[in-house]
Amino acid sequence: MGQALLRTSHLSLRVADLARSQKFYEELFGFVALPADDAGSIAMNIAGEDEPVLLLEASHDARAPKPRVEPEPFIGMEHFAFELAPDDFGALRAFYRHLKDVGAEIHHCVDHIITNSIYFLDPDRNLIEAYVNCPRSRFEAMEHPYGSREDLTPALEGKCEPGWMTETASQ
Amino acid sequence: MSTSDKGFTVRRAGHLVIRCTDPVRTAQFFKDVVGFTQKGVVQRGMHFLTSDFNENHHMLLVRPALDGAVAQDADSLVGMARISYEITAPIAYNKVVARLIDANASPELGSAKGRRFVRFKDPDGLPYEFYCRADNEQAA
Repeated sequence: MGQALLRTSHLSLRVADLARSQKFYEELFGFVALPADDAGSIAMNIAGEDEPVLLLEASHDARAPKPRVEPEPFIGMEHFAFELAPDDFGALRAFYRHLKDVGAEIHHCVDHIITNSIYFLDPDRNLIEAYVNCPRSRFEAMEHPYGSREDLTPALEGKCEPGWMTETASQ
Repeated sequence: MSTSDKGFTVRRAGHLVIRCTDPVRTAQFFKDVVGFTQKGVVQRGMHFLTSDFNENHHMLLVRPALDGAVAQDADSLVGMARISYEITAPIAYNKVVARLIDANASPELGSAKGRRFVRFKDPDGLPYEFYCRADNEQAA
């Protein structure tokens, strides 16, 4: 992977309870919290990285509107996604177990062809995605490599392998 | 607190998905200003945008809001305060700034912590930032 000309850097989230959100993202993703320059904001970095991937800033308005999740209609962020490593389903299974251990509310889990993804809610009910990339051989010939196929919950719970993996193995 | 002993780590921030009033207009805005290209075909009004598919299969997904959606004040709500993208080449950053000015997108220019940044809002009033670090400028 070469030096990208443009990259997704970080999401700034305005949160209702700064300490609560900091604890959530530290526990869940292992992010390291660093004080940001702005009063009432915290930069959250991947351990060992110089640049934040998440910036938390405190909301000072108790009446501020809260995030909405489908099927509620809204204009704005539907979700934000973090990429996990390594690129294999085992990493996503490990993350799924960890999500359950920390008590996060899982929204849905789906095979997107290009990724396998878990969607969950943070303490303010922002919808967050964590995904692992699927092998390029699976989608490189596709004109449209994005989609929503099987529910991955059974596979994430270890009851079976993902259908696409079984199909690939049998070819 | 590392998660590697649990069997995973976070590699990076991946992408943002937004719901908007007019996905064609918003997608075109980002193609024109940032130079994003579209990958795949538009299905159910979804536009998958990236600067380099091989580097990141999508950085921004624009899709239609559901019926009845009303814009909220992005400057006050709990939730997304801003999404930030880094442009590593100063020339490319300068082009984005110039295109934002040409598009009458009311860009706010600034510099802090060793970087130049430009902040603006998309056609629905959602806030974005693009920045270029000074060490990339010195290397150029």
